Amino acid sequence: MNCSECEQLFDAYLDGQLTGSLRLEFDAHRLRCRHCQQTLAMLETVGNVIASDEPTPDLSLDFTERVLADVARPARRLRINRRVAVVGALALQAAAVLLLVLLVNTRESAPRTATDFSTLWNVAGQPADPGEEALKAWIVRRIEDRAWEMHAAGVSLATDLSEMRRYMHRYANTLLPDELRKSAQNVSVNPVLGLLEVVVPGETAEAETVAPPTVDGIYSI
Amino acid sequence: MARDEELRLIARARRGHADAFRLLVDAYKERLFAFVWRMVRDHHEAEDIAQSAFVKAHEALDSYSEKWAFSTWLFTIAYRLCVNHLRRKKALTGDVDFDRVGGTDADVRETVANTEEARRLRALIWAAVDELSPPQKSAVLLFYREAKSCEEIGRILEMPTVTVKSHLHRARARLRAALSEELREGWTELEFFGESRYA
Repeated sequence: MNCSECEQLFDAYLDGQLTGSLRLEFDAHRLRCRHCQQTLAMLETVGNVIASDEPTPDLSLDFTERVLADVARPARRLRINRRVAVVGALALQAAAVLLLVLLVNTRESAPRTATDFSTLWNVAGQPADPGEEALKAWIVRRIEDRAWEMHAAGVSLATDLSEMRRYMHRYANTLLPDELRKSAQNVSVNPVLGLLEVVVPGETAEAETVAPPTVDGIYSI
Repeated sequence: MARDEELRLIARARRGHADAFRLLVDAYKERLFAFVWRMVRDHHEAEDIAQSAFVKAHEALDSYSEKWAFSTWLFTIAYRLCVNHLRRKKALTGDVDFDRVGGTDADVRETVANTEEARRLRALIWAAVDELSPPQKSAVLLFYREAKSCEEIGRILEMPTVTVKSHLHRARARLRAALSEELREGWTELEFFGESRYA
């Protein structure tokens, strides 16, 4: 056995898996080869230091008590996160339904095609009717898809509601009468309630400090 | 702790007996903390992770299989938490703070080495270990400190046994390369406290 062959067996030896005749040959080479002796001694020493040397900090005296206290506490945080996710999902569903109500009851006609949400508001003067059921399905599907995209990306559902608000600002400022602009202010306070105000305009509480966007401040679709 | 005693405690802990789980925590907390501390290199973070590992173990007690040692299952949970923690901290640069290696921390118990040469060597070895990747480092710690078999290590690190052996091989090669300049005559004469795994 030469040094190269011997080195290939180092791992098996250190793992305690070198046995039989191969072990004998390995030991015979090691006894007469200074280089392999030193290399193996170094690796064994490394193992000894890692195994035996224990310079670790002291664990806190109350560690066990803290663990048991945590174990006794209910999993409130996980439940709260789930509750937020459910509420967020329900809010999106409600927004989708309200948007549908707006489209069906306040417009005389629906666009010919509804393949893109933004194009719904650009198809002015081109009445079309894809059908109520198709429109309902499209709206719910589109919002749901978007929610799942954001969820998969790790984005909070609250962000989705903010994006919904921006859509509604564009909608409110491009298609609704001037008196509805003020209602859009409520969207910045509470997107879901603000959406209600846009969909069903009426008396609302005064919005907080946010002013409605000017025409120049509106993103183009 | 004997295996049958451990299984009895686990069964009682599953039924909600806090005293049984307390005994399990006390049996493994030092070893688990030492492993986690070696991985994350921060006392408070290591305690938090070790604490979380025990809490998660308690929550998932019903999923524990007697096929494996309880320590194997517990270390699996702790390893996952360590990896998640390290990813978040992005502490994978391989930089080594020599002030925190080899037992020179103020809050670290000093172990006895009989010569300055031995202390220096210990510091070099732990510095080299700290430069290993998390899977390599974990494999080395579990193999040498916890005396886990490659199969058990594979279970903890959630990888095939052959991959564990590969990690150990690479870790030893890196440790050997890092320490090669220290290889000299009289190496075998250095004395260290602790029993050799190969005795």
